Amino acid sequence: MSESESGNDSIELIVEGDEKTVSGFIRGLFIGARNPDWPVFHDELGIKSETFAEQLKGWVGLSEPLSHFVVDRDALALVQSALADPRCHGMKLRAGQVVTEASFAFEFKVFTEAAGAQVRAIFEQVPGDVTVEGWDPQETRRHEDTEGVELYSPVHHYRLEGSGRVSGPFKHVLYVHEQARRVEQIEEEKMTLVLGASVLPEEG
Amino acid sequence: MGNLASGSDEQRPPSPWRTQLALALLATAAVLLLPDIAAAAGDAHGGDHPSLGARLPLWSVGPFVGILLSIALFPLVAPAFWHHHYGKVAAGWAVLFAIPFLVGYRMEAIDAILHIYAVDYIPFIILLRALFTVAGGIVVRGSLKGAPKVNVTLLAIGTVLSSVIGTTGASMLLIRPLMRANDWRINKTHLIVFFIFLVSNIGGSLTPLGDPPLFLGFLHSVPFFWTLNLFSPYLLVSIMLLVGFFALDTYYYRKEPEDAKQAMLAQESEPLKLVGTHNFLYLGGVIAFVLFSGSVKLGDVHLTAHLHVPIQNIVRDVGLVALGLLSMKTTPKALREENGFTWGPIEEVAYLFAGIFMTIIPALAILGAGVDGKLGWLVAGVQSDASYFWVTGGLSSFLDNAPTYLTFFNTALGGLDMSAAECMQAAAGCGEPEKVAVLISDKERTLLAISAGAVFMGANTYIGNAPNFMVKAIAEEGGVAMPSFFGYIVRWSLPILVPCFVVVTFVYFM
Repeated sequence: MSESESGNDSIELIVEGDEKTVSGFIRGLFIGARNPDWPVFHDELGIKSETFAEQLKGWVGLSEPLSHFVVDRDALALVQSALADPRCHGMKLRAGQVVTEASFAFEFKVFTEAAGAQVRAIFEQVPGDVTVEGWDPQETRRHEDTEGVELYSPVHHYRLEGSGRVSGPFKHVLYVHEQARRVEQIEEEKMTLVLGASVLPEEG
Repeated sequence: MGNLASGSDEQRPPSPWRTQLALALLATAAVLLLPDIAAAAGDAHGGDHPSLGARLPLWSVGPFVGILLSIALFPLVAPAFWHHHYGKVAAGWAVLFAIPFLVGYRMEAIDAILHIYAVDYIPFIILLRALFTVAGGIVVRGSLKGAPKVNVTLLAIGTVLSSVIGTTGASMLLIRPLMRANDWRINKTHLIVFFIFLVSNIGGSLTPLGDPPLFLGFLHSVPFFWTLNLFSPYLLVSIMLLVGFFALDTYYYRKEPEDAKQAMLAQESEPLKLVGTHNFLYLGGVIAFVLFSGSVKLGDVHLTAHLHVPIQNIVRDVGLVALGLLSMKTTPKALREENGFTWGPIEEVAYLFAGIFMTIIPALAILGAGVDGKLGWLVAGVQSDASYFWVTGGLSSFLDNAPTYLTFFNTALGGLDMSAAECMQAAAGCGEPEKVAVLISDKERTLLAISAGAVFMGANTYIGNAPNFMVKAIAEEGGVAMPSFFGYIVRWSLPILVPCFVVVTFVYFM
């Protein structure tokens, strides 16, 4: 996605159709149009989409499978016109809503000062419009005789643990989420999106 | 003499109140327990009297249970306390058994204590120290590219190496190269868990050097090469786990971010090399000395009227100490620092097993007495090979596997039906070597079940075998998110290991 300062320029789109087909089509569309943005699919990047019940309905054929992805507002027209093309069989744009906010909860436990510094950098140097609620990490340093390996009485010399919730505009929260995902000792939940007004004209 | 009545120079009684209280408690325990002990003690030596095991009361195994539970539970519930006071806790349990035992059984107790320390504890510590020192001087340098084929090869090498240099040594040698190779990855937990399964536990099945339970068996007359009989179940479980690991690692490898994968593949790799390889000579020396002690008979040294230590064992132990000292002298300190080598683990083993070997005396004696002892119900109850495998293994999962092996080894010996004729045929009578020979000739699968259960199932929890916690701690400090104690059991050992062990049961022990 292109850099943007606006918080309301991300749109969540829901397309009805086989997931692999939709994902391939949309990605191909962006590459073919040489659009610098890139769609963010929910499954790939840990964003909550349907409930389990809705997924189950899709699996057993009671409803069509749905693909959720987020694009920049500037790319909306590209996707709408492509999916409206009559040659585009088996895919239909079902919904499009502004993403007003995104958030995710996290917790972590790390055991070296270097890892502690890395975690602090992720959650203390967030973009200005992102907030981290509940950030109060507990740091423990023990006596130097706890350094080194032990067989029966392992105690870490250093420990930093904490938890919290990151929230703010989608793109900036996604950036923090991606950084957190790359550190195995941070357990982060999937991102939750708060959706606003629809961007699609009403049918009928 | 000073003026006791003057103010500032007044002298106080020497004993602090805590020492007096401790002595009072011990004396009270001895007095309260003495009638029970004395009634069962009988004559110390000579005459026709039941064996020690037949006379010891059941509660005498209490300190043994206590020390094993302490080792199992304290690291989980009070790790900082345990780290600083494990030695005192072990000593406390040992003294709690030793004092009434010595008071009640006198010379018999002294003989039993000297025997277990001379025959089991000292050789055990000497061997572990030698292996740990030698392995700690070998470093694997260079970089590997952490992909499924590389990782499974590394695990397979570690699984073989464990039987040569011990599970602790192999774990120490290979855990950091494995982590370095996979440093670029987000999903690493499975690497460490399978490392614990294979290198820290199952891999140590093939020789007495591989895992402490098997060395204890060797010290108790199981022939050195007998453990090669575990090759078939070892191979079966290793193959199942390596195949499962490869599939899982491939799945996680594909989930890694593409940019990180490409960067890793594009990186120039530093060729792998082993440094400190002269320690392999010392390792050969360790194997040679252990084999020597099992192959020759040079006579005995009589430490007491009833305690005879074979000369070849003394030669072995002196040789192992010398090899450890040579390794320290000839290996640069920097190499050991690369391995994170410290004496901490050996100190832990020394203090804890000093306590374990003291407190295990009644358990071994009672079980050795078979149905005549107070644990006759256990001897009678664990009969089939499958039940030996699961009971030994189940307890080894939660209590250290070395004393658990020894306990069930003695249970099996106690369950032998040695006729007077068999005893008379053995020139030396019905001592332990004769009983072990009968166990191997008549019930070899039972011994296989006990050995496999103790070694394999040490992998079931973090507390089942010594290297497990060490590997977990090293991994956590290397940035790997390791599961909690119960998370490890529920998400890893129950769904992966237990089905493997069920297969082993049906193939080998039914």
